[in-house]
Amino acid sequence: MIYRPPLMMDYSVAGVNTKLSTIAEICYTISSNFVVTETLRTPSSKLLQADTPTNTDTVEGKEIQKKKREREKEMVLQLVMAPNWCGCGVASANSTKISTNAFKMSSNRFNFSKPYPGRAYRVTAYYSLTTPPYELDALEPYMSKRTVEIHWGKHHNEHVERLNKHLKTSAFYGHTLEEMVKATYNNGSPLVEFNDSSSVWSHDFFWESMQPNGGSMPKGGVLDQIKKDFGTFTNFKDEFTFAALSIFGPGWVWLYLKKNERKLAVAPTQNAISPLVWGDIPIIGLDMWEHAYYLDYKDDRSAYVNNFLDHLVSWHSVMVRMMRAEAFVNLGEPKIPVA
Amino acid sequence: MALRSVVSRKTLAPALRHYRSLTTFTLPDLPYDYGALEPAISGEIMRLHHQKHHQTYVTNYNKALEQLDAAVSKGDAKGVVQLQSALKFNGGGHVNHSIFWQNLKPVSEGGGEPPHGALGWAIDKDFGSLEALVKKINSEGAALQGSGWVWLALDKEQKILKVETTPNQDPLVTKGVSLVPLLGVDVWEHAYYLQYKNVRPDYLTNIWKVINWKYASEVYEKESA
Repeated sequence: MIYRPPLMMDYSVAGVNTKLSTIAEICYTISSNFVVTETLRTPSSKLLQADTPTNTDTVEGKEIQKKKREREKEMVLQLVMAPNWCGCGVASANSTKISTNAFKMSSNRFNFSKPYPGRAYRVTAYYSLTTPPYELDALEPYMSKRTVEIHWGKHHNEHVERLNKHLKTSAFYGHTLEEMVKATYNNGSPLVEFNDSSSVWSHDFFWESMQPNGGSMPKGGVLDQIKKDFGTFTNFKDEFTFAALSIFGPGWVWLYLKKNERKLAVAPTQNAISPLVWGDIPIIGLDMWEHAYYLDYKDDRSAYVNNFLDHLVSWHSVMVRMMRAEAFVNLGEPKIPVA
Repeated sequence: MALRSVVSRKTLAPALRHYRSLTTFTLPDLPYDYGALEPAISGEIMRLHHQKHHQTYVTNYNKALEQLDAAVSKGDAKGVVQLQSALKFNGGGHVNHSIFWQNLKPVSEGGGEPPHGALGWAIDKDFGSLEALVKKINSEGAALQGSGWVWLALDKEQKILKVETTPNQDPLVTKGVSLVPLLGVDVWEHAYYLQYKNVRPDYLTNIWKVINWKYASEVYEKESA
């Protein structure tokens, strides 16, 4: 009897976004009568094969059996000890044989997901909820702890869980989040994974767009760029606020860098859309869905936006994002500082 | 006499130019107190929903209508088309909420009482039972991503009841010209967030206690006649 492993058993999960923490569970297909033979590199290789038991009546047979056991123990230990066993190029051997005995011997160490003997498993790596870079009450009084708790712990979390549910059967499994957002937007006819993947990305971006004691003015190059593209800093704030309040229904407002024109701009978007879908680089994202402000501001959206700009927005994040954007957009000759 | 003809000419001219006056809309009053729908919907939510959100839709709708009037008289085609989204959003918001206030009734005045008569039979025919209809509306409402409305609609042409959803403030007619709204449930977050937070399904379960089936029956009987 040959068992064919499911297609998703690709250990080279190179597409996983290393910025996010991943939960990877490795389990092996085992069965009391079969030996698992898989390569760590290519999924299309060896299948589960029946193990012809070695005849241990002869001395030779005993030797072979002993060697088999030794090798299996070694392989299992190697697997277990391998630092990056999620598969990113580690493959310590071309093939790994694990018999049930070897498995049992190392079952204490190899118990990543409490395996039930005889049950089939597969490797899957999913996204998990990233944590805001500050404590949940750090944004008080402009964003209450209650809002952050519910917005992050319930809404953002729900999107992550729904995304993972989609990924179980999606062709986009293994993509980075940014790739997935762009691909599932499908030029305006979004696929089912778009909403959740874009929401997860946008919310990660949102928490990092804020900091305790944020707001006030940016400095240096960021301020110069804003002045160049908006005239004055106040103009930028006015444009940002106007865009935020102009959204009909749920949406986001973004400060983003236009790649082609090499300038900053402000744009509102509907539902979960972000500048990623049209290929530009987001620099600030503000969630204008009602759940983001209703508990603190009720219907007073302008107070919410003003407080965000004056007290919450993290210009440090903006600077880092602009620096990263320089890798993709030629913002000019680098200024090498003279000591 | 000469003076009077001058005066009358002056008054005639503006009358000829603005022979069509612009109808503006006002916020309808609620037929019950803000706190009358407790504990299904809190008084605070009702007050904000009515005095702030619905009022904003009315105000902005009137503004958009004035701008539309100006654009139409000037013959500004681009301006007219540009105003369409504001008209749909704010006008739809006004229309939808006006229906919504009629769809709710305090328990003491009959809210939550299941429908009898023609509507009751139609529900049984088209959905199997009232429970099945409620379950369908709740699941569609919970599954709606973003903001929008869930409707129990009568399709006048096909003479059948349907459950529809519309995004944002799109009125029901955007889903079909022959659709008549019998019941609408607002699933925008402002409709439940202060009380139910992110748990929209709880809001949907509880709102049935204050749904005004009598109004829905009246509309049904009138439109299916």
